[in-house]
Amino acid sequence: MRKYWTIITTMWARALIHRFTIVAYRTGELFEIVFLLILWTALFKGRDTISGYTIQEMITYVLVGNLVSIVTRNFLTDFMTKEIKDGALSIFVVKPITYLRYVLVRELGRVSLPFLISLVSQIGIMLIFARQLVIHTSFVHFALFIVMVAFAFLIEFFISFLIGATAFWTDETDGLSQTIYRLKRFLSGGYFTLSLLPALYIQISLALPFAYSFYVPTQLYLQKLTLWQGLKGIGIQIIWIALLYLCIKLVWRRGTRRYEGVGI
Amino acid sequence: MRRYLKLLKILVRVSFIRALMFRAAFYMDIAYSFIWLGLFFIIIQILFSHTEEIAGWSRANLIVLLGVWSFLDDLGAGTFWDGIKRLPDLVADGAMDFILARPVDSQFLIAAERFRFSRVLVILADVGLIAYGLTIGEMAPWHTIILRFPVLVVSGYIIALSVVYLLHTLGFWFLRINNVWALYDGLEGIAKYPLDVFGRHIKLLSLTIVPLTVMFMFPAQALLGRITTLEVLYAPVVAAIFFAVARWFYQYSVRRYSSVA
Repeated sequence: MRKYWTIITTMWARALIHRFTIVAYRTGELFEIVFLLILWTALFKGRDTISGYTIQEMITYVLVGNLVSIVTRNFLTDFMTKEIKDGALSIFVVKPITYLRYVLVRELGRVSLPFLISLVSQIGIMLIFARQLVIHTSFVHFALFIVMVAFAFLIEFFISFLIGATAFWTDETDGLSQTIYRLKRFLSGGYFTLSLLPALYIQISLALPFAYSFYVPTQLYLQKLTLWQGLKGIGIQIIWIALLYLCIKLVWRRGTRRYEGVGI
Repeated sequence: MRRYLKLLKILVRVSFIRALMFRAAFYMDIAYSFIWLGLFFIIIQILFSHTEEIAGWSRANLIVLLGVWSFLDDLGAGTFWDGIKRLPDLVADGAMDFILARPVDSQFLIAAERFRFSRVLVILADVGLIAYGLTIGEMAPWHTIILRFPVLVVSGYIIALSVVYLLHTLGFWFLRINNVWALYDGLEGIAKYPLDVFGRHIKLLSLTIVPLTVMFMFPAQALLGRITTLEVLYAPVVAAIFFAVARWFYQYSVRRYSSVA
C-alpha cells in the first residue's frame, strides 16, 4: 500500500508545478459550460419545454453532467504516448508493479488536484445557478448515481489506456485522442442531451460505454430513469469494463512485442 | 523582407517534407478534421430541429458562421499554431538559446517553423461549407464581399496569431504552461455560435479585450451583408493593436529569459 501512496504524493508534487496549466485548462472549460447555459437559456425563450426538458432540468443537466465529466476524466493518453515514444516504458520491466496498476494509481494522484480545482469552480457555478437547479433527495437514486460515476471513471481510464497504446503502432496519437474525445463528448451527451436525438440513436448510444459518463448518470440524478433502468445501466457498464479489460490485455501483449525501447 | 520570404519558402518546404515522411499521420489528421467539422454540422442540425433561430441567426447563417470559424481555425492551425505551441517548452528546456542565436527575428522563426499541410487542405471543405450556407440562405452583394471579407479575414487571422502569441509568451513568466492553448481553445470554441446570445457587457468584451466577435463574427457578417462600414474599419485597428501588444510583450519577455540548459 505504501508504494501506491508514494506514487500518489509524487503526482501531487508534480501537479503543483503545473498549477498554471490546470487553471488555464479549467478556465477554458468554464467558458464552454457558461456558454452552453446561456445558449440553452436563449433557446428556451418563449417555450416551456424542449424534448421533455424544462429550462431548470436542462441547466441541471449541463451542470451535473459536467460535474460527472470532471470526476471521470483522466490525462493518461498523453503521458502514456510519451512514455512509449521516448522509451520510458522500459523501466517498468524492473519495477515491482504492473504498468496498468501503476498508471491507474498515478492517474488517481494526477487527477486529484485538477479535480479539486474543477470541483470548487463547478460548485461555484452551480451556486450561481442554484435557483434553477433541480435538487432531488432520493438516497437510492443518489447511491446508484455514485456507483455509476465510479464505474464511468474506470471505463474512461481503460479507453484512454487503449488510445495511449496506439503509440506502439503510430508516432502521432494527438489527433486520434482529440477526435475520440470529441466523439465521446458527442455520444455521451456532453454537447446536448441525447433526448434531442431520434430514438434509434439513443438506443445505439446506450449500448456504447460513453453515455454512462454524462447522459445516463445525469438522467438518473434528474430521476428521468427508474431504479431498474439505473441498475440495467450499471450492468452494461460492468460488461464494458470486462470487454475493455480484455482488449487491454490483448493490445498490451501485441504492443509490447512491437516495442523497441527507443532512447534507451 | 526578401530574406524572410526566402526563409519562409524554405520552412514551408521542410514542413512539406516532414508531412511526406509521416504520411499516415498526415491522412489521419485530415480525416479527424473532417470528423470535427461534420460533428459541429450535426450539432447545428439538431439544435435547429428544435428552433427557427438563435439570437437572430438562422440555420443557414449559422452554417456560414461555422464555415468562417473553421476556416480561420484551420488557417491558424495550419500555419502558426504548432510552432507557437512549442514556445513554453523551448523556454523551460533552454532550447530558446538556439532560436535566439540565429540571425533572424526569433518571433517569426518560432511561428513559421511548423506548417501543418493537412489543416490547410481542410480549408477547401470550410469554403464548401460557407458556399453551402450562402446558397441556402441570404448573401451580401458580390462587390461588398470582395471589398470587405478579405480585410476582415486577415484582421481575424492577425488577432488570432497575436492572442496565441500573447498566451504562450507567458511561458517566460510561469513554469510549465504547455497546456495554455486550452484557454484559447475554450474561448475560440464558443465563437462558432453567435455571440449575440450574450448580454451587452459580454458582447462589449468580445469586441474589445477578447475580440471574438471581431475575429469570427465580423467576416461571417460581411458574407451575409450584416456589417456596417464602421465595423469593417474597426477590425484592422483591433488587429494592429493586438499585434503591437503581442510583439512588445514578446520582446519584453525575451529580455527576462535566462538559459537553463
